[in-house]
Amino acid sequence: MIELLAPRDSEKIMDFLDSTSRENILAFKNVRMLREMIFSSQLVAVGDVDQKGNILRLFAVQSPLNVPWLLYLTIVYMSVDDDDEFVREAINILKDVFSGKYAKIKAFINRNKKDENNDERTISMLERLGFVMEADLKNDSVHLSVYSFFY
Amino acid sequence: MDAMKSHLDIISVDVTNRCNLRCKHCFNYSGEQVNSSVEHTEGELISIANQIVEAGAGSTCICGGEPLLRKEAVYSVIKTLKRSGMGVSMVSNGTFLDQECSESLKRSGIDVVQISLDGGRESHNWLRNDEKSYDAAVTAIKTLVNEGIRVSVACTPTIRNLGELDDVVNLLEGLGVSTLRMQPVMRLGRAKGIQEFFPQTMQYAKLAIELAERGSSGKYKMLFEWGDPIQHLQVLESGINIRSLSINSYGDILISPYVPVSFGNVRHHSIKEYLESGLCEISKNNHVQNVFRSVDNSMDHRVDDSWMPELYKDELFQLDIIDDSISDKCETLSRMFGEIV
Ligand code: SF4
Repeated sequence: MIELLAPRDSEKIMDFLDSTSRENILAFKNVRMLREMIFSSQLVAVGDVDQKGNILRLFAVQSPLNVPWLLYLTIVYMSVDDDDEFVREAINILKDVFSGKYAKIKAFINRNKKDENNDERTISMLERLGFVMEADLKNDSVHLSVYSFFY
Repeated sequence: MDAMKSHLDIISVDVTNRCNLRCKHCFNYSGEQVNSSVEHTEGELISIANQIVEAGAGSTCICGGEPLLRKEAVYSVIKTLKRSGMGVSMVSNGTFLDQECSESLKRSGIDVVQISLDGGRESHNWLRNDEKSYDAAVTAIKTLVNEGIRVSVACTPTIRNLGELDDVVNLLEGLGVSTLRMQPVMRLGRAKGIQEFFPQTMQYAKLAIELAERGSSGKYKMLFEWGDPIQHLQVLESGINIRSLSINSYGDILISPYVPVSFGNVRHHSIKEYLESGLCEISKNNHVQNVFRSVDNSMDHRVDDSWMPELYKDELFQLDIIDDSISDKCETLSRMFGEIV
């Protein structure tokens, strides 16, 4: 079942993350911090959950609640192995959570030379979902692409 | 009396378990099966206040039941505590808070009074099981503010009052309330009987967002707090020293209102003696940690769409860290709580 995850799901989220590579994750450090962030809705996660509450798929954003001048949500977890439908539904659930207050969801992709293939797959998934490129910042050491989904 | 150096931020004291109301969500069954003959006398309460001062706690919260069923005792306790300069607050349903009471509280030196207001008139009276309780609470807030006493308001979200936040906020801001605190209801005590009225995950999430946005909007003088009732358990699980205690109306010393274990009784030994015997470090005991984990793990039972733990015990497990053999008692404790995990 695809649903909004609650603070009590934090341990299951950590279990899920332990079973995957954590490359996409910016915000999760330990279960207590994760729980606190979910409780205060600074982090909002949607999961595909089985009957026992185990998380099969995850999509998570960080909200700008503690930074009031930011007007967008930032993806902190998305897997390119998930089907587009799951992510689409998660994006819809998020729209409902925030009552349409945020006009866009941003994905920051640190173009990691080591895994160009994964970056390309992520970008093509984002494009399929309706994200558009907003910026592509490049210098000697950094290559950062910013994609946005507009509600 | 020399105050010891302790690291206790706050001690809450139930001055009674009696209550004039029978709120549907009362987590400690206040007002039911009360044996007032074992309630502390006023003299005993003053002695507890002295023990708190001696223990060097940062502040005290006077709780219940409804504390103002024992007005004179409450004034005496506040005065005793304030002599040491510590912060003193009190929670109340507001029913008995008239002009005279406000003046007496002010004279005693109270810092903050927390009044419960659970939505508009209809929602509040429904939850509080009393047709007059809303008007009484609002009158109490006005009276306290007029007296120059800081008022904070606690509001329990239910599916009946979720749509009334705007009205509540405007009312409280207009009345000069300093803080509005909302926190999910614990599925304990009488609250177990009204689970269908608790908000769902999505509704709690939206509420947290709404409060945070109001807090940072710059539109209000009032502060907004979204409180997590079990966060302290998560912290204690990591084995750090205990920083708050509760003393119930029978003198039992608890380290959390939601952990059904008494670690001593102020009628047997003083708080200072318990502290010197390692009360604050009891959170490092493996068996006790097992209890925290049991309470905390119960959150994971996906029995319905709300996320709060359903506590399994309505009676306290008695363990006196001075008089009992801790290892024997802890083994029993572990057996009891081990079954739950
Ligand atoms: S919630 Fe407070 S006012 Fe209501 S019955 Fe319990 S102690 Fe009394």
